[in-house]
Amino acid sequence: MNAVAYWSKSRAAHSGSTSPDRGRLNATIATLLVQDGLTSGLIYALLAVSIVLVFLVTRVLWVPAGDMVAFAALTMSLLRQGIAPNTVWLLAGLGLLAVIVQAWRCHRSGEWRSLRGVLLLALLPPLLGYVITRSGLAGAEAPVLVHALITLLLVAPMAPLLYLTAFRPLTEASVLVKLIAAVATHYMLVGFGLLFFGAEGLRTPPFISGRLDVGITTLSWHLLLSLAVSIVMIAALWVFFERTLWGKALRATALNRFGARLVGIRTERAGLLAFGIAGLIGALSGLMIGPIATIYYDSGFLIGLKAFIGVVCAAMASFPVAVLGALAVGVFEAFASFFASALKEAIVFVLLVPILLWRSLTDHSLHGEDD
Amino acid sequence: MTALLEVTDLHVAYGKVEAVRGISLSVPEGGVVAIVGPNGAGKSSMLNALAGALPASGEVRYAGRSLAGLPVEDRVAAGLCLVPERRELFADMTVADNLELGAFLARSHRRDNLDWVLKVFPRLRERLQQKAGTLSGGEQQMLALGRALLSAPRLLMLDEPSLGLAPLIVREIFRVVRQLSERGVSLLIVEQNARVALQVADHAYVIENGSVALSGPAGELARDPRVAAAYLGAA
Amino acid sequence: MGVPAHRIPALVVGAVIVLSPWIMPVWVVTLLGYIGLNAIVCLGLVLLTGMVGITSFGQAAFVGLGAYVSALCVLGFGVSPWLTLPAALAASGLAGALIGWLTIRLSGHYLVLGTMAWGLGLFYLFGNLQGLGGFNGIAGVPRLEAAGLSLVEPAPFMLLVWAVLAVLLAGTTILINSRAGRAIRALRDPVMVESFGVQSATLKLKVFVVAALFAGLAGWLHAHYLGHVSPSPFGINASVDYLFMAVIGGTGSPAGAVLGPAVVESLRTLLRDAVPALKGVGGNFEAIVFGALVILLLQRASGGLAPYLSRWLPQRPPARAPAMAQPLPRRSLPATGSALLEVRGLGKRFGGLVALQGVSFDIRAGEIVALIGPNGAGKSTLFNLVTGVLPPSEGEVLLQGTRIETRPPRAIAALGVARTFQHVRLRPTMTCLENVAIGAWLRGRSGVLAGALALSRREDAQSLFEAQRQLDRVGLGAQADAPAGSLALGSQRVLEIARALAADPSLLMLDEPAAGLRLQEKQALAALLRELKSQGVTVLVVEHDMDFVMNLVDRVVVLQFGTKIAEGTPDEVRRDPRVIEAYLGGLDD
Repeated sequence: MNAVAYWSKSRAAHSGSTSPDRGRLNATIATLLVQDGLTSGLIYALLAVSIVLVFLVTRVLWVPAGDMVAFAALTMSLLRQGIAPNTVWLLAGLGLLAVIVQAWRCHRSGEWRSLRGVLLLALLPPLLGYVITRSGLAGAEAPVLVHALITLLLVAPMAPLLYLTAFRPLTEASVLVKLIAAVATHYMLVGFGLLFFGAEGLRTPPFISGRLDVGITTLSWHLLLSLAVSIVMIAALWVFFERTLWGKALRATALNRFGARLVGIRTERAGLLAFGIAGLIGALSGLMIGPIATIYYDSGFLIGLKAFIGVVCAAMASFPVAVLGALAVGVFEAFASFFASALKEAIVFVLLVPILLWRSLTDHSLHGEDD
Repeated sequence: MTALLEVTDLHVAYGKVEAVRGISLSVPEGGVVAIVGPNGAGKSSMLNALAGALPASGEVRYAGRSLAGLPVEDRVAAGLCLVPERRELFADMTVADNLELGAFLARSHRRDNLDWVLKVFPRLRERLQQKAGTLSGGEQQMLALGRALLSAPRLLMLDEPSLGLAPLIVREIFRVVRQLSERGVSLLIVEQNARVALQVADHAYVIENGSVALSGPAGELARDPRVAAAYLGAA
Repeated sequence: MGVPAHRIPALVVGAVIVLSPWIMPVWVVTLLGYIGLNAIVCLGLVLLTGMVGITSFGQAAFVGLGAYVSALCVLGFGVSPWLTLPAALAASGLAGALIGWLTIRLSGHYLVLGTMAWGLGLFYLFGNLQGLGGFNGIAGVPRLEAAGLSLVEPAPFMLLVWAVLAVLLAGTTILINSRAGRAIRALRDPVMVESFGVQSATLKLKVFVVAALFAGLAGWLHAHYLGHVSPSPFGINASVDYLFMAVIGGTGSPAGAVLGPAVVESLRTLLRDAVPALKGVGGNFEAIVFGALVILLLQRASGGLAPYLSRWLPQRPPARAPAMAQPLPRRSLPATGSALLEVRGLGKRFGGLVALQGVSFDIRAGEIVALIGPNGAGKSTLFNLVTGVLPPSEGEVLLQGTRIETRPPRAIAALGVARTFQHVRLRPTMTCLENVAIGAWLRGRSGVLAGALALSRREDAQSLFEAQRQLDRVGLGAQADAPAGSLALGSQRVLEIARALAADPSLLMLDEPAAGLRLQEKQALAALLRELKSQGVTVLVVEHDMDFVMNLVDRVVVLQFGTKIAEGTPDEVRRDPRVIEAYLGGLDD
């Protein structure tokens, strides 16, 4: 991996559909910066929600969250260009791994019924995706919605498949072991990314271009679209967790795993569901970041890390705080980029340290944990 | 008639501690069996093992089939439910949600069971929208019991139901326990408070150092001076 | 003179390394150079992650710091490349101290995220600060020269790297087996080591700095070998690489620090040469293979590969006590019958919950006193208050007249209180002898530096001698070499008592020592305690088990619902109706 090339490219290509004047900050520029910040902040916020969810239910720190985003963005860009994306093969590969792991489990336990569900999850999406993308239904002229759905079909299942392969066997392991496994998973995904997507960076043409004039300022249509999608997603999640039985079951598993088992909730099923939701959110976020940044196969890490800052603000526990924290990171990043574009990333991560310190000292749930 | 639960030579160890050393007992269908004994005797470990939460060796047969290797969730599905010592409630969720989750597997009977639970525990009805973590100790125990009842158990295991509760609440809870038995639920109750447990049970076992020291009809054991010796040491 | 069997593998490897420039092709020698370089950093990770439990995804930043400082010094001040070493070490050591001080205050996953944060932060600094050449870095760094020979060739560089590595390996191994090393190996259980007087935070920081120094040293070598420094080898990917290498090799022993890089770099070379021939796509099969390997190891063999290897190789014999050593200084015991521990009106509230209220009692020197009560009576809370684990809400505790209720466990240990734990807290992989020796921590003074430089040999021997003495005293003398985890529970509890005795306490506090023991084990334990009492040791036992306590102790204090309900001799207490009711329950219907 040519890291030097990557870092210089990434600095040049990062978010911001407008390049602000390198002059003084005035109200107009500030408003635009806030908008830029919110546009990327919304993506970090959705990711942060998925990371908190996965952590609460499975105690896995979902480091590869950003990779889902990158893969979805790349897939969408390719589809918009009329190219059949290699995501199908990546998904099929992950599916195969999951089937092998499940078959091994079934062999050890003697119970083969569970293999059926895994086979379905592992093989149906890539098969469907292959057929659709090579059928001519999904050419460059197809509507955005069709491409979006295909992208979701191809990327969202990756997360639960990774759960089945890498994290389910580690259910009883400590949070730190799961974290190292998550970093290793991310590492693997970046390797797969280069293999299946190549080193080239891609940018999706905007879904709706232009800006809306609201008098005091102009709002980009993309921002409004992202806002709409985010609100719908968060509302859907709220309904899921507050009103449906499985949503409550997920919350219960997150609060008290033993208690959840005592009422018959299978923790592994809850984990699979949590990862499924995370995959969906990741893919959706990827759709939305495509038009505002050039994405490379390895862009996922930094995106995920910024979402993590929001998550840490929330002590890994509160969804609203995670959202607010992530939005703040987006805005902070936009302003930092204006004032000191070179040191932007350094500032963002040095910001993380005091937040970590604050949270580590105040998070009381830590004091039961062993190494 | 074969017993609902038949335990033979149960051994439970966690880490280095051999908590249960060869306990055999049985619970008849519709019966109430009490397990009493001093703290640390292995009673809770035994219940946790029967629920599937701790590995155990020996034979456990429930409704005629062996439970070996069956995880907690499957035992619950079969009607073998546990109300653990620490209650394990979902503290940040409401009383109503806790109860609803109790019926996760027994959704078809949810309405009826819920009505009955709220009838015998009117305090819970008053606090349906309150977060479980804010309830008093006695109310939490009632909620834990209610939640387990919504799983429509056939054999309900209670681990130290009186722990940390004032005498009046303990009385109320054991009153409900008696009503449960009348409804046909079989019960296996582990209790440190021997007197109250022996009053409600049909049959009892006294556990000391991980094995059965005494067993017999509850009424007889209640009068047996050896029970006191098990707690306070031989004179 | 014979060579100890366990040293042979290292000597063989060393010989092969030294001879390799003449017997191996150049690419092997180059590979060995990189393996050695990575091993230096991984050795720091073995100490940091393996022994202390701090998972660091930021070591590459320290390597970079060492490299950049060396480059700047040699280019900026024109000093000889050899002299930039102290500068590199100073920079990485100082940064290690500062960053370490912050990082060890983080717990669990926050700590790991913290290491990523400063790892990334430093990387971006390297790339963006003025004068550091941006992402292209600094070129033209002079090479090291020795005896007129420029160390730019793979062979001399490789030999230098392995010479340095050998010294570091020796020092690390010596440190691990020293007094300080035992304390470091026990740092994963800070509650336990603090109760024997170890300053765990300071010790952790020292290990952190050592790991940073190793990394800085590797950075120095890197700079003067490659001739240029740029940010890319010091970014988060490099840090992840180092950690993965350490995990693959096994963080449990210094051998893993060499094995990991050996496996990874060899596989890497293989993949680079073999696979592109098949596919034409270079580069990222390594990431896939290593990611998969790490995940597989975590799932199946979290100790890494080194333990498998060590099964085939002769093992280092366990640390043994010398036949003779000067005994450690002893504390003067208080006069029999004098007030040793006085508890006055002690109380503890947790929010609204009153765990303990108005508890007062005394313990006189030479007594055995039992603290009993039903579950939830407050015994553990009281124990924790007296040993300094929790601060009281009210009341005082005096030890030989000194108030101790607000002091931390370390200070209370220094005043002569030693304790055991309700759930046995031993280091299962360390031998019984080593576990007991931890108890004697406060009776010596040498620290990490002395340990590594083999200057603490005398104190090491003394503490092992003392440990053996205590093991003999409690009847476990023959088990000195056995790993503590292999003992039965009863013996483990006795081992904890031996460890407590190694601290030479004036008051021995035992937390439910009979819990989970079989009848014979309880009898043996009771006999031991009677023996200790006859030797003048004062003991406070917290227990449930009435049988155990009744025939053993002089006095009993009974708690229920956080207050003292009775006190007296065992017989008096057993007949007390309040006690009977507390234990058996008092509900009549």
